[in-house]
Amino acid sequence: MLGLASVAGAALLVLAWAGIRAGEALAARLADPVTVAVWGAGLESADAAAARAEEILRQAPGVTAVRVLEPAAGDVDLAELMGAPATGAEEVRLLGVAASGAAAGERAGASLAGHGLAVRIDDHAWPGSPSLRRAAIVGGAAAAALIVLAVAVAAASGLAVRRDMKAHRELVELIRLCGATDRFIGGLFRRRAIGLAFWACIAGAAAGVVAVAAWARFGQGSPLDLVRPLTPLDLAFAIAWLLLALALAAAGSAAACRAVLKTAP
Amino acid sequence: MPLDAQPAPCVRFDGVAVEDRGDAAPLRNLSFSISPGSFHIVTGAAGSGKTTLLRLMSLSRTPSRGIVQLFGRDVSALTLSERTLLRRRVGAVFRLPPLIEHLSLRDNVALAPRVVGRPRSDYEPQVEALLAWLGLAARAEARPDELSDNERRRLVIARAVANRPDLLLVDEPDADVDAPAALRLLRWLSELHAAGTTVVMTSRDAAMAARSGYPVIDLRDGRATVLEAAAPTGAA
Repeated sequence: MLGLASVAGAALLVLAWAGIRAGEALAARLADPVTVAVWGAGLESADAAAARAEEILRQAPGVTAVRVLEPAAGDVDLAELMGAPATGAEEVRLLGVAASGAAAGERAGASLAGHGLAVRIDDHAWPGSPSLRRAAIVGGAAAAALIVLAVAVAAASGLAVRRDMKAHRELVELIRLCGATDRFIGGLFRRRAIGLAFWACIAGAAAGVVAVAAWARFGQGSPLDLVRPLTPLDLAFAIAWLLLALALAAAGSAAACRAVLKTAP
Repeated sequence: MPLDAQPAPCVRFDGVAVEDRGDAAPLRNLSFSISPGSFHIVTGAAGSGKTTLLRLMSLSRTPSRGIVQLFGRDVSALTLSERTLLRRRVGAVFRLPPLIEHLSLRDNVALAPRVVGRPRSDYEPQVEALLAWLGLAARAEARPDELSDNERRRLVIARAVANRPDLLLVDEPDADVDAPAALRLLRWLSELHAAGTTVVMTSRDAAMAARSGYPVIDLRDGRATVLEAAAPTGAA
């Protein structure tokens, strides 16, 4: 169980770190109050569509500035993250729009409507912004999964210690009769549990790193493509999981030891 | 302390009851005390509560009611660390005692001083002396599974006294061994008693207990009757 939790935990932390890094890069590209993703439709190229959209938006009421962002790798993924339908478009252009007053996104959308443009509008001031909503869902799911895994590691260590101590009840009594403190007795079982957890977590984290690295290499087209270009530093984040898992295993086993010894006379 | 003051009893039971004993009869209203430096034999039939009595004295069982005092301290009022310190003054030898099978005899005996943190230089000569005293020196490196029942029992006694306890509790040392071996074990216990250790042992052999010249605590129907020492009649 510890090994499996470690595979998932290490992979999750690596992805979380890569996601934070990718998120910072995205945040820089989504710095304007409203972002408009434009892609080519029919015979019109993405550049031509972007130029036309820029022109229309400049005339829109309340719009104070429009800029076409320099194209960058991942713009197609970003457009999909913003809720754009999967068009198969190879090129997407992003426009940053500044506007005064409320509902800037809606007004930008209204001005672009009816011009035959394939666009998607993301108003970052709006709580329902697709990009923000998706980021919150992914972040929340990752945090929840991490909490579940952390509880699983602590519980697995605690259960292992509890079972070990019950299986060696006579030994516990013997050492107690010899005058050992509960701390000493607990230490014997805790050390054993943490040693086992260490090797399980090492193996699990290594497997998690291999799985994530394989996904980064071959997993094109998955929903997490934005975080796919992993760096060695991202992979090294598995060590953070290892330390976290060991701390959790120590805490879980210490609590179990205390509980078992407390119920003994 | 005034000259005529009595030292606190080593063990004192006041209205002690133990109700949860499975199929065995509960122990009721046990009241007696054991003076420091004495040797008591607890007698009774199988299931009469002899081992339970020793477990109460070794702090490995709590009574349902009543007060158990050890060295003048009410054990129910002790903190965890105080219980541990008190346990270090008690050596206990129960039947079918767990020995650590992968440790040598020497290491099994050294276990008690090691777990209380005594330095090796302090306990090593004592461990050797104990093994020699109990006739196990030649087999110090053997594993417990190579020993006879009688030798295993001696080994457990050695471990129980390795921390020089003030109170030694021994559960039926004369059971399942032949008469000469039982006699030897009792002589060893007498030697420990002569050296100042308070000894409480249990036995099913009421006749041996009566002959021993030591006070007897007779357990019957869940109640204890203390029979004062009679003059010893021949070998125990």
